[in-house]
Amino acid sequence: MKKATDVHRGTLALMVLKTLDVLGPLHGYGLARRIEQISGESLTLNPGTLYPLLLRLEQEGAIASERGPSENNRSARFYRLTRAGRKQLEAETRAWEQTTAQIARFFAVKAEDLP
Amino acid sequence: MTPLRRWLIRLTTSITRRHDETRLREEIDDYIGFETEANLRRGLRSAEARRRALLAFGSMEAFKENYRDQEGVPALEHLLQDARIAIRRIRQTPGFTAAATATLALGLGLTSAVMSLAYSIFLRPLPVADAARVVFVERTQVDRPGGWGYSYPDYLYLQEHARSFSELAAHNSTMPPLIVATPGGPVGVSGAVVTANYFTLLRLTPQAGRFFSADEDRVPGRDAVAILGYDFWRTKFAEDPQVVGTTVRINNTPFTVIGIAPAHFHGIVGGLPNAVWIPTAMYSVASPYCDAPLSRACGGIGVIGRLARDTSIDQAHADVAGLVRQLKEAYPEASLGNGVLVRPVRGIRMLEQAANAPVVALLAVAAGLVLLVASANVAGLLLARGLRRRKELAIRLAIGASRGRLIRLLLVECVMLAVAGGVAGLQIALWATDVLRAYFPNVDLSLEPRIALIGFGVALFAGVATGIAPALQCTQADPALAMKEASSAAGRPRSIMREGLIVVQVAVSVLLLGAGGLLVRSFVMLHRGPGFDPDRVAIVRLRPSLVGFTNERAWAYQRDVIERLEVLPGVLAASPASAPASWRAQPVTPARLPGDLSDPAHAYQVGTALVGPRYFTTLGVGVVDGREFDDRDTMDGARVAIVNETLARHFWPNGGAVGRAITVGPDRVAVVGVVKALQWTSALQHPDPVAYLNFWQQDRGNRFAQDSRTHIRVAGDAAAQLPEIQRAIAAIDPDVPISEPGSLGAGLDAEFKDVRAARTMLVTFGALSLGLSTIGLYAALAFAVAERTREIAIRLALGASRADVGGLVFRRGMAIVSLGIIAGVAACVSAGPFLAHLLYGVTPRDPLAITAGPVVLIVVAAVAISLPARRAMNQSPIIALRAE
Repeated sequence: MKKATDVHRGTLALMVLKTLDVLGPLHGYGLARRIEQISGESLTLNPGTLYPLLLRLEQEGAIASERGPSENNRSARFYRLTRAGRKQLEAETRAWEQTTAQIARFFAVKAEDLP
Repeated sequence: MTPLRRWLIRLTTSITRRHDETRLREEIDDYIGFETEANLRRGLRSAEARRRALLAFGSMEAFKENYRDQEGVPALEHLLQDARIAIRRIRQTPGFTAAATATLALGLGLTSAVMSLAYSIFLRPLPVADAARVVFVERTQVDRPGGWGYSYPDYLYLQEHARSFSELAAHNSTMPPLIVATPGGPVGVSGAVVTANYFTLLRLTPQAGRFFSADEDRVPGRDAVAILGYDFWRTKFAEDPQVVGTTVRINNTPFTVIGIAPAHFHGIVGGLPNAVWIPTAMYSVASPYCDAPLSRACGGIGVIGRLARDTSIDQAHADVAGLVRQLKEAYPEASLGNGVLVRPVRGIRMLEQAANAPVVALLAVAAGLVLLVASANVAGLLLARGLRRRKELAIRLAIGASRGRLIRLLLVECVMLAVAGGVAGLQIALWATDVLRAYFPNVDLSLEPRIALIGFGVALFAGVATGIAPALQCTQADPALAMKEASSAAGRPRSIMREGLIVVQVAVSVLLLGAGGLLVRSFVMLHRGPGFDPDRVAIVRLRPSLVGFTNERAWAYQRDVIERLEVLPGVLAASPASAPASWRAQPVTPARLPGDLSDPAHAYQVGTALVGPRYFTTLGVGVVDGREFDDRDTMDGARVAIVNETLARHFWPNGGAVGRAITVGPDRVAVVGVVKALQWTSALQHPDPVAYLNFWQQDRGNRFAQDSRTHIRVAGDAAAQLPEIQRAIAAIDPDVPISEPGSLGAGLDAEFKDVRAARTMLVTFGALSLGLSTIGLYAALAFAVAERTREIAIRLALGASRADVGGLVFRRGMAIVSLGIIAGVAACVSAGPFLAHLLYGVTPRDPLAITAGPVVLIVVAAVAISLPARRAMNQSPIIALRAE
């Protein structure tokens, strides 16, 4: 399995934002497991990578956090997407789609296709 | 926006040191809690579930470190930490801190202040619009340095024909004082005679009133109008705007004040601030030399110009040189110089004389030396301390500090010291500027911000540069070895290193002090003054011409004055003269041997002065050959002259001038004596040829010939005797105005302020270098001896006598210092030739200059070794041994 630190720089932040966008507020542990689950268990996300990233995103204003009750009567810090975070997600999604589309054309190209 | 926001949050966290430790702890606990629960759900037992959860979490400390780094700015936090350690360190060693800070502060403070003075005098541009295009258009003599001025008609010719200037104006800014009647009584101030367009050429705006109109400078003697300087108006007229429009008497002539000059404008000749300006049409009121100052017969007019657009100084020079050649051809008998110099309007007269240019180089080199001495001493102190701190640094390395971190710690300390030194230095600079201002009241002196800034930069640079070497050196050592070494009494390699350091420090100090000493000595030789005590000569100006005396009455009056003065107690001799002895002899006329029929245009130009009997006795100048004027030389007797050695050598290179005849201007005179040439300022300057003619034999057709500057030699201080002298003269005839009383010394000071400034600067630099070297050497030696406290204790404990131990320490210390001095003197002697082109009158191996520094350093060294050695010996051995 790939470690999350090995994935392309910046993509982990995108994963975090997208997961929060789709699933609503989550605590750190839940977020880590969800990302692993969505990646089809092809990624492991350890706390040493996740928490500094969450802190950074919060300092940048993309997410906000507050403590609240969790399932099974524990309390935990829940992270949610802010309005700025949603905008950032949209912008980064577009940029990502453009990049992948461009790269895809390069992968698809064959010598005989070119004049 | 978002990265900025993040950095702000991180900065705030770092500075307030408010890390959210609770949140960090909670997140860890929660994560492990959730993981444990998950493990329990997988069927693990509770202890195992938690153990697995902790394992999965990974290194807790690394996690925390990582998280905290993200919270704040780690580099900043480390820096703040280093700063706290450095402050603690600085507090622990107050002696070292004081020595290092004081060295830097003194070096920088005094250098900045003195350089500001040099800047104010030599380099500051005029406070006028586009000052770079305003130039002096000077006339020079190729065979003699110095500007000679034009006649007014020459100026008009230049103005009409010169093409390189958008405008030309004439001025005489270096006249003898004008006597202005102020509400507080008459005051002698420096004034200037200027053409009406002087102020408009400079593009100045009056503080109050207006400047001259062109019409006011048209008809000689008609428009008595004056402009007052701002400072003069402020101090003597209480800044009263009503002064404009009123009448003020200048040299006893009523003038209407029409305006006040702007605040920072003091005229265009640096170091000689003008307080009053009058138009050239009123020149005759102020001229001491000529009856018709605007005629071709009189010189003394300076010309300034504003360069035309796209014209260079060189083009202007060629233009004016051509015009001066034309003038010379048209008026061959006029004493027009044969050279031209066009240069920017800044700097003082000293710079106008090419022969004195070395002075500026001398000052610059001296200032550089002072900074070098300061830096060398701070480096020495830091290195010595770095050695002592090896053990501490070794411990830090051993418990895990990285080398980079240690170097940064040491650098932070150095920078803090440097900043402290720099701040203290600025304070000293401000204070020193105040002191200098009192010495040079006529210089518009303030601490130049740019110079202070450069000084501060040098302090920082010196701190870092001298801090890096010990930092690198100390952190290279193997920690285990360093600790062991530090605890032993005196590791051999270490003491060699430290002692070697002192040798180098002493050698560098000796070298720099020697160089400084040579510079000061050459300056003294260069400007050794008149060779007699000018403070013993009083001068008063007597002007019977102002009160309408007949010739007979006036001449009788002048004779009475001399007779009365010479019987006054305390007066040794008195003599009338046409001008104070400190002035350049004027007018300049051609001198020739009788029968010389060559072209008068190429005749030898000599200065002339009218002096009475016993004039040279009054000054205290020796007569080399022949005699002085005496009472035999009357109006009816043969016309006589005394010439100076320069003139005598020119016409009679083999001697025998006395008894020969010579033509000076229109007069044929017999030489009765030869005197030494007066050299007021620079020995480099070739003394001008001067013919002294007899005051009593002058042409009495001119009313102003009645007036005199009477020189009086007194037994004590001239200034103190002046009131009594004035009373005695007033008793003869109270109607005759007595003005400009003063000593010849004061006159010289005023005339040669620039030289005095340079001397003050050099002496300050010399004293400063010596002071800094003293501090540096004392600190280093005291430090080295204190280091041996433990060794001294062991020797004493093992039964050595105090005398033995004291002698041992002393001999060792002095041996090191002597080694340094020998090396330094050797370096000084071999470096001498490099200085040779800066030296005058001393050889590069001048023994006095080279030995003065070492002698002082040896005395300092003896004290610096004895005091700490005594302290070490007085300490109980037990305490000394345990102290490590």
